[in-house]
Formats: sequence, C-alpha cells, structure tokens
Amino acid sequence: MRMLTYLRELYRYRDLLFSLTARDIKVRYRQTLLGVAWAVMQPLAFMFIFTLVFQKFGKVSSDGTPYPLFSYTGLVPWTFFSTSLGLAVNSIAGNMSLVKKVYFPKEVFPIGVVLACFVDFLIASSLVGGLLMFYRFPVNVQIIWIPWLIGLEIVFLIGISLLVSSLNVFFRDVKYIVPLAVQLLMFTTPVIYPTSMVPEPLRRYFLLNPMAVVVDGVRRVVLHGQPPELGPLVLSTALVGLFVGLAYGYFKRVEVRFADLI
Amino acid sequence: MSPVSCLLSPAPCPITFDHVWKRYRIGSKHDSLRDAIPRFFKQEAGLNGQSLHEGEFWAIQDVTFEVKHAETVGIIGPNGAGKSTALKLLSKICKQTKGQIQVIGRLAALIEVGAGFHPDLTGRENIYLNGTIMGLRRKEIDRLFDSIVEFSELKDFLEMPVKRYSSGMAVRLGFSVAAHVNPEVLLIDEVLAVGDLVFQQKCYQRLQDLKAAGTTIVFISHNLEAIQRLCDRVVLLDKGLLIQEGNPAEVIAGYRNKVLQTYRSKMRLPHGNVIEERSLDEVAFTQAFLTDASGNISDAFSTGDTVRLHLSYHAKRNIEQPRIVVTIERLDGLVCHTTSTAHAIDAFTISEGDASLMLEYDALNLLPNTYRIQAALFEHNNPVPLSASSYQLYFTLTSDSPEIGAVHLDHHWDTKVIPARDKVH
Repeated sequence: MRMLTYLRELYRYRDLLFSLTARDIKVRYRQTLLGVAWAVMQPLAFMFIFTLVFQKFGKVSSDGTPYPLFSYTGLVPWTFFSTSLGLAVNSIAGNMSLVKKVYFPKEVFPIGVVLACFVDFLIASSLVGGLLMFYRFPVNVQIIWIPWLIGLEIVFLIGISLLVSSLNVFFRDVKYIVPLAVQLLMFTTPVIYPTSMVPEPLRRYFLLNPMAVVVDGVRRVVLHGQPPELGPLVLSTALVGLFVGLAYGYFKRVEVRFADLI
Repeated sequence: MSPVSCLLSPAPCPITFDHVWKRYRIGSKHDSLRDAIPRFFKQEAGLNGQSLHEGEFWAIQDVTFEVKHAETVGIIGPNGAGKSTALKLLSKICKQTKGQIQVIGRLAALIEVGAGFHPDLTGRENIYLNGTIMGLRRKEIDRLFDSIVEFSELKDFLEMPVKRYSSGMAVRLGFSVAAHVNPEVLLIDEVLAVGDLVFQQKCYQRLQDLKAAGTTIVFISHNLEAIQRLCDRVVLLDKGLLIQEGNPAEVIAGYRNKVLQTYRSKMRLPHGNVIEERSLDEVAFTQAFLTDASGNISDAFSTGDTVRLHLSYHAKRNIEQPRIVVTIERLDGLVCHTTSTAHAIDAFTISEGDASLMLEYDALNLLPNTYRIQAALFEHNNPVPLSASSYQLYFTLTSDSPEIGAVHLDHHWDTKVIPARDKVH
C-alpha cells in the first residue's frame, strides 16, 4: 500500500530520473578524448588480461568456446554490476547540495546511476555481436531469455544501490566496503571461469548469487544456444524481488533523515 | 489565529505549522560505523525522542503559524533563528521531530537558486535538469523554455557550460527556472539578494505578479524593506521560538528593537544611550547622548521627532579651526546624513578644558529603522580625526506612516487637477 504511494511519486518524477541519467552520461564522457568508447574499454582491457593470465598461463576452461569471447560475455554484465555499485554508493552523499535544498524522491539518484550504467552496458554489449561474428558463432533463438536475465540484474542492482547509497549517508564506511565486497563477489561469480568448474555439491549454493545466475545464463544463451537453468533463475528472481522490496522500504524509511545528516 | 480557526474557515489554509519542534545534533554530522552503532542502540532504547540528548539542540521549538490562501508571509529573525529550518520542514526536505505540518497544493521551494546546476552541462541542459528537479515535466519545460530564456537574458550563453558563467549569470538562470514553476505555494529563502539591481527588481516584480495571481508565498529575507513591501503578515523567530507575529510594520519594528538591544549588549554599550569616556587624546569626546525635544534621554524616537545630540569634549590644548562631523548611518551601511560644524558655525573654536555642544535635528525625517550616529573631531584640513575614539550611538525610529524607503518626504496627492499638458496649450 505504502509502496504504491512511493512508486506513484517516483513515477511523477520520472522526468527527473531521466534528466539525472542523461546528466550522468553526458558528464561522464564530456571532455574525454575517447568519449563513449570508454564504456567498451574496461571489459575489453579485462578480456585481454584475463585471456593472457587465465587461459595462457592458468589453462582455465571456457567450456570449449574461445576464451576471449567467453570472458567478454561474462565481463559485460559484470562490469555493469561493478561500475553501477561503485558509483551508486556515493550517489546520495555526493549530491548533498541537492538533497539539502530541494525536495524530490531521493531514490532517483541510485536508480539514475544504474540506468546511466545500463547505457554503457548496451554499448559494451554491441561488441559481443562483433566478437560472435569474428568467431563465426551463430546468433540463436535462445536470446529471448536475455531480457529476463538482464532485467533480473537491473532489479538486483537497484536493490543493492538503494541499500548501500542510503547506508553510506549514515556510515561512510560503506563507501569502502562496497568496492571490496564487489571484488570478492567477482570470484564467486563465473566471470573468469565457467560454472562447470564449480564442484557439484557447492553449485547449489553458488547459484544463490543472482549475479552467478545472470552471468551463467547469459553464457548459456549466447555461447551455447541453451536456455538458462530455470530453477535457479526463478529462485533468484523471487529472492531479488523480495530483496528489492525490503531495500526500497528501508530506503524510504530513512530518506527523511538524509538532509539532517549529510 | 490558531490552526483550529483555520479548519473552521471555508477554504483550508495552504500551510499549517502546528506546534512543530525540530531537533538537530551539533558537531560532526556523519559518523563512522564505530561511533554510530552504540548511538543507534542508545537511541532505539530511549525511543521517545522527545527530549534532548547531549550535543543536541532545538532548531524549532513549539512553533505554530499558518498561511492563508494567496497570503504572503515573511519570516524574519537573526541568524540561527530557525527560519531556514522552518522552510526546509515545509518543503519536506527534513522531517519535524514533533508536531504537525500540512501543505496543500503544488509546492515549489527556492532554498538555493540553481542548487541543481551541474557545472559541466550547458545552460540549456541545466534548464531541463533544474526544471525537472523543481518538479516540472519535460514537456512543460519545452513549453516554458523561451520564456525562461527571455527572463534570464542569457540567450547568447545557452550552449556554454555553466561553470564558465559568472555567479550572477548562474543565479539569473536559476531564478528564471524557479520563477516559471508556477506553484500554488512558493517558499523562498533569501535568494533575491543576488544578481544586479535591475535583475533584483525583475525578481520582485515576478513575485508581485505571482502574488497577484493568488500564489501563497512564504518569504525569508534579511532585507526588511523587501519584507515590508511584499508581505501581508510577518513572523519573527529567534532561537527557534516564535517571538512575534502580526502586521509587517509592527513586527519589523519589534525586530529592529531586538537587534538594537543585541548590538548594545554585544558592544557593551550602556543603556540609556549615554556614553562617557576619558581619553588620553589631545581632544576627546567625554560624553554623548540623545534626547527628545523635552530633554529626556532616549534611544527610540518617531519619524519627524525633534532629536538632539549632546556632545561633551575635553581638550588639552586650543584647537584652531576645529571641525566636528556628525554622521547618521543606517545599520545596513547606508549613510543617511552628514553634517559638519565647518559649514554651519562661524568662528567655532575649542579652547583648553571641558566644553559641550548640542546638535538639534528639528525633524528627523528618516523612516523606521535602526540607525547609528557618530561624531568625529578634526583640526582644520587634517583628514585624520583628532579623537581616536569614535563615538557611536544607536537609536531606532518608528512611525505610523505607510511610507516605505529611506526618508519621509512631505507630500500630498491631488486628484482634481487639470492635466499638465492641457495647461501648456
């Protein structure tokens, strides 16, 4: 009931959400030489270094697919995740002048950050198409799963962003915890290695991490033409849905105190 | 008027502020986890939240007022009175600790002009950003865009990043956006004291227009003339308490009196407006005070009163061609009047010893405000005063006159005249 009121107000301010998103994107690449190419740079650079280190040195499996393609398909959703959180955590504390001087639903900041990073994600994704063509991989019909998988990631990101951005207003420690946690989480997400390398008894817990479900799902769909594992996907979707509801509820409960504290 | 009477009146008040309290914490505002966790549990334990803990203070204490439809109410008071806090509570930026606040109708708050500007974005982009922050839809901004640009007079700078704007330009852009929000309830916090004089006038004109169009306005300013000009009613706050509420002239006079008292206590000026001092200078004022026409010492007069300044001085030698200069200055720094013995008295001399003189203003026609009067003593053409101690006395003027401005001018209106042009032909 109260959630509806929140959402209605957020909807009323949708144009603000879009102008903030536009602001973030414009500001990020204005006065840079490469401009939006930076959206591709990060996953691409990691792709090169991962290929060198984990394929050439470490002989990590890539389930029979070319390792660069394998790692890039994982890196694109992962970069979206890590960049979003890195920026979202300070999105409210860093906009203190606005928070203190104007009234509007403050969730537009973390959500706007996620949306702005989503644009980067789309740009970086286009290169997946290029790589598929380069390696002569056919585009297959399973791609219809992508909206669900990426939708799940976006909702998950919004939930975490709401939580960490509001906590960071009260405890600046969060700003340091988040990058650390994101880095640790990468190793429990199949970015560098395939899910098939995770021992069977652990895999059940492994797939409780929604990002593992997303990255694994994306790879299955794009590289293997298989649907994602439905059980973990449905479970993740349910958990993420519950989580985002709780996070939003918490956010709105503490929102009124932001202006006093910042 | 109490909020209850508001409920009984036919149209509900757009703004009711009912026994509102707001508590703040002094000192470091954001914490690390280490100090915060114990505090959090302490707070949850003593959850009543109605009392002050260590390091906390009330920014607003039990303040009640209301604003009726289409009314303009000014909030005045010294720094730290709680004015801005009241506005932040009204605009929902903060939440009150206790009490009820109700605002009915579309609200716009101008707490800081251009708060949402991003320095790297152009003027055009910032108009959209700032407009949506103020709650406008993109479509509405499209519609208002030309009008906003015209009001700001920044047509040629739209494609320039705002970081290259002068501060005046940025303010103009910010106010122009805000002025177009067309709210039913408008809250303004001392933002008009910016921009050049012409633009300021334009802003005031815009406010008058909004007022005439039935907008309910709450207006904070230290510019008491502007408050008097715009407001139907004024609320005086001090240290979070509502001190006085009523018609602008009365409340402003009350506030000026308060300011004077504060001045006096801060500068350790004796009450009764008499200053006496011994000095080591060759010549020095020893006593100064103001009296009314019947000779009573006072520091509060009415516009048009006879006011006398009595000065005593002590000279250790004879002074050839002395000059005593007396200046009346308004507290905001406006020099209202200066006079000198050089032009007024022939053959005025000061000989060794004590002496006094008196300066009488037959009718002190300055309008209500707080003033400072000071005297200085010069020798011949030497621009450096002989008496190092400068004398300052403070006084206030009040008046029933509806005139606004710096001085009272004798004037009258005549409605039965032949147009001047016809007379010529």
